[in-house]
Amino acid sequence: MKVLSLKKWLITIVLLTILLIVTIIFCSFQGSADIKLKDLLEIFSNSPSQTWWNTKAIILLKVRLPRILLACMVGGALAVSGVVLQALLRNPLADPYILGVSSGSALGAIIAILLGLNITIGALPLIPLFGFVGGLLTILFVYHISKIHRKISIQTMLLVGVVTGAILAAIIMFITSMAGPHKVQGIIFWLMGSLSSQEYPMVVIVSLYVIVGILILLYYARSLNLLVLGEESATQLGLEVERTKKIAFIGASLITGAAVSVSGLIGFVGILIPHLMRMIIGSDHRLLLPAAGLFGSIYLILADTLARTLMAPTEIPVGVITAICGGPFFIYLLRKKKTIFFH
Amino acid sequence: MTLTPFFRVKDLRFRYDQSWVLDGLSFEVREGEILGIIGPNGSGKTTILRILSRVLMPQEGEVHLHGKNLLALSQKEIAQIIGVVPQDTYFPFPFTVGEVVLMGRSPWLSGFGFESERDLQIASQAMTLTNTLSFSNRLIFELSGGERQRAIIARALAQRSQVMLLDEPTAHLDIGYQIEIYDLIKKLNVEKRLTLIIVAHDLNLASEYCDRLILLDAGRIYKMGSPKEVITEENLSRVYQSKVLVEENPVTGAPRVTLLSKLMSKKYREKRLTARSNRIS
Repeated sequence: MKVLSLKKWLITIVLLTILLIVTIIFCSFQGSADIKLKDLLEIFSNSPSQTWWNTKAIILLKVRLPRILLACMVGGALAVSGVVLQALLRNPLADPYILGVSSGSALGAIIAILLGLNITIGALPLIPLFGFVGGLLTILFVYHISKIHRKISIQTMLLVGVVTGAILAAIIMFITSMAGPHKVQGIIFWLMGSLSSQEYPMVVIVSLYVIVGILILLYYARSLNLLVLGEESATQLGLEVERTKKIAFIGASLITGAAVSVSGLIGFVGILIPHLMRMIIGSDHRLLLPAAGLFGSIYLILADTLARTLMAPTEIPVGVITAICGGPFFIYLLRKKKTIFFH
Repeated sequence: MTLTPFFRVKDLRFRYDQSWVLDGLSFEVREGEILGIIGPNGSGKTTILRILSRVLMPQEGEVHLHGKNLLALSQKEIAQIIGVVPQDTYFPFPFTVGEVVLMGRSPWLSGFGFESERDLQIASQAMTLTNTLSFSNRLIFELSGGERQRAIIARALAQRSQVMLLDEPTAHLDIGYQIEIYDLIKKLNVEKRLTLIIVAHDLNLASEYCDRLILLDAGRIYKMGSPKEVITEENLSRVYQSKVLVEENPVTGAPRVTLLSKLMSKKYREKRLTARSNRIS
């Protein structure tokens, strides 16, 4: 009987982590400014006081690296959120983008910015927090509207999610087109997603939200396996279903909210990565959840590197890359492994 | 067979919204017996299983498990004693049969927890017993209905529970699989001394395999007793509002039910014949 063992878990996670580190290093050296590995060695070997802040070091450490780390966090958060929402709703089509959670988070973040809450109070940065609340309210709304006689209608839920997402996106477009001098840029940022122009403090804060959220969700990974059987069966296997669901919804909203509040709406990561990983490593959430997180990071780092290098100096919105690369591949997988999705 | 009550249900009343689905039920489940629950659609059969496994809480009345009030136990403790086999399980994601059976070990694990060697051993024993080990690496939704139901029974067995509740376990299966599942149930009862409560829609299978039967009618117990006492023409025609013929199965001696169409009844046929001859003349 082939089932998940600690050994298989460790090997997979270590391999993916190495792949992620390699990706981060590789992508740090991609870009319009020509920086080689030996330049980095030079920066470190010379005494910091003299050459530390030369142009190459600034580009590498203050422009590229924070952006790559942000892509790492956002990609991981969206992929994990997709895995969790799919399990919670027992629906392979669920993901934070489709269900409107991302739009809710974006609207929350925009409201925080409009209210001038672009500051940190104590350790609590308000923009990701508003993103989290917006995402959570959206998913709760969609969930309760779809509940008919104690049962969730999956078709209704998808429809409600898509419609809610569209309404929220319209509100976002309205607000961004009314406010600020950089109207078009603002709209592009929120609706197509962008990972540029975030500095270290924000990257650290978002990382904190995402890592804490993912660790909480990881602890409940085995419970997600049971939830896939349906609430009744999960209860009969000893799971406290209501509590688990609450924590999973909150955790998924937390990481989605944090990710979206700094990157806007980046589609496809949340649905593509979970399915891709399921095909490779199986459905056991104890491995699927962290593996999807790591692979989501890798995928978004690569996509964002393409976004900033492909037509440099013009930047392509990263959401365009994730959709153009991910979409056709996803359709190919669906065709090839039809039975897994439509049975 | 010992006769200590496993479950003791007293004055149970339950409703989802306005009307009572279960309206004052009292019964006991004895250790080591196969108890069948039969009755028309909507008579509250499945609701009883949901209350016994505490998916639902009754508004009135009490359920005692081994003398302890069911409400005093945690969901995990209940799952360590009670295993449930639902009518059918929908799997939205590609889990393997082995993974599904191992989920039966959940009541004994906590947190992130990987299964131990012992858990794996218990799961493979359950799969050997249900004859599912050979396809443990296949995906659960690639199996036929009968195979899948056996895998789900293996999951309940892996819980190492003392009682198994089955909700119409053969509802979607053809006759070959029906006999296979019921033979397996009987085997578990005899070899593993497992107490079983089966919601059955097939009266003949219930009559053949169950030690005792409860016949429900609109949320109340209409008749409780041995199959011979419960499966009678009078009881069934009253509760199911339909004509049946009950005779003795020549092989096993258990009561056997034959459904009689209202169209086929002698009286009706005579009426039609006279009507036709009248028309001709």
